[in-house]
Amino acid sequence: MRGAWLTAIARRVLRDQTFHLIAAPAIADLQFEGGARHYAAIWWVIVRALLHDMRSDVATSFGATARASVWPQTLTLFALLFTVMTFIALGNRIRLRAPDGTISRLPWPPLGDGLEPLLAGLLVSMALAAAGYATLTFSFALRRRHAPARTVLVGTLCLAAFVYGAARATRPLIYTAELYRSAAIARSGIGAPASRPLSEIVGDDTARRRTGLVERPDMWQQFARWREQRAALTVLVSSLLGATLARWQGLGVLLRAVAILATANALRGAIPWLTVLFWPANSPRPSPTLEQLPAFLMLPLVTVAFLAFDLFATRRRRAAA
Amino acid sequence: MPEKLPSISATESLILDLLEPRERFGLELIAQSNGQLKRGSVYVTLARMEAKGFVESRQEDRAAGAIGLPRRLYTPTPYGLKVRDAYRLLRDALALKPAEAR
Repeated sequence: MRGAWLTAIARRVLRDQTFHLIAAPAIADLQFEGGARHYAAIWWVIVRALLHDMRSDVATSFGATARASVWPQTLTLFALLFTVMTFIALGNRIRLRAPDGTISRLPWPPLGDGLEPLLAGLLVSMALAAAGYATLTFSFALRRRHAPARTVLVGTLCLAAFVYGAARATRPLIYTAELYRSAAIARSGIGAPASRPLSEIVGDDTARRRTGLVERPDMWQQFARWREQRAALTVLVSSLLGATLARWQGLGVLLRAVAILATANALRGAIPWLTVLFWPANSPRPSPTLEQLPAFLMLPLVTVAFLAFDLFATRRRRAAA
Repeated sequence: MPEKLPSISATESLILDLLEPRERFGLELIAQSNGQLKRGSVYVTLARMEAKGFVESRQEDRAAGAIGLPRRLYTPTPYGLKVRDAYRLLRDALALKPAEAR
């Protein structure tokens, strides 16, 4: 039958209502009287119908109803994560590794003019990380309100694109923060007095050369790229986890969340042992992305495994009933 | 809060003109429009008009055992025709008269 495979594709990619109102009449007309020109036009109809659906998906994810129900929960988690992570990071970032390998705990005041860029970089990093993890609530709440999986996917892709764009746009801010942080390390290394402004050391070639950041700007660029990609990937992974957890009720959600995170963490612990197989000791590493990706993939892989098991169990239960 | 006014495009107006005498299929509309309606866009426009309440549609009656998808027939609604006429009046009223042209 003419157009059978077009029907199959359209049914697969479009919502039921869109298929019946837009694609099906076009395909029916093709079956009635159509030629090559009509075939080409139907592809265009399907593309436009798909765009129509995507617009509805975006409206469902970010529209007035979502803003009243899904987004307050998401923003609450974001605010909570942002606050907690910022406090933890404030404690960690202040520990500076001196060139001789020792860890020195610098109090805030000696950072002087470096305080502002350091804080700005830290706040941006934490906001991006918190946004990634907060997507969990977004997909969880949407799925609980019976939003189709494709709506969650489109909404998540929009958020991932936004987070990636924000991470990419703030790269100079992070770079400045890292530069000042390196200058603080170098200041202790060259024995400069604590009263010497960091901005002077940043401009000083001797001090700049002592920092890894200036010696290997290519490495920093690679890490920056991976950090930006990871921010967007975290959005996707958190959304997958949220949508998966939405399948269960009550305490089951918490138990599954703990089980998934614990399993992923345990497997992540095995990564260094596996890494040896791919990159023996002292061998050059291809890139930070390839090096860190396996550990990053553990959470989505475990989540998919839990999801697949639940789908399989549900199907068996239904078959038995 | 004031109610949002309905809007109608030139294409939608043309479709209502073509549908007014009798209900038609999508392909018939394309054939009758002398090239003003395109195959790639007419079905999307019709779906949008249906969502706005300007047209109604139904699947064609088919003999038992017929294969393929049923075609869809479109009819204008009284509301659609009313909006079209109102916009036509508005356009006429706002059109620049020769005396007003500078």
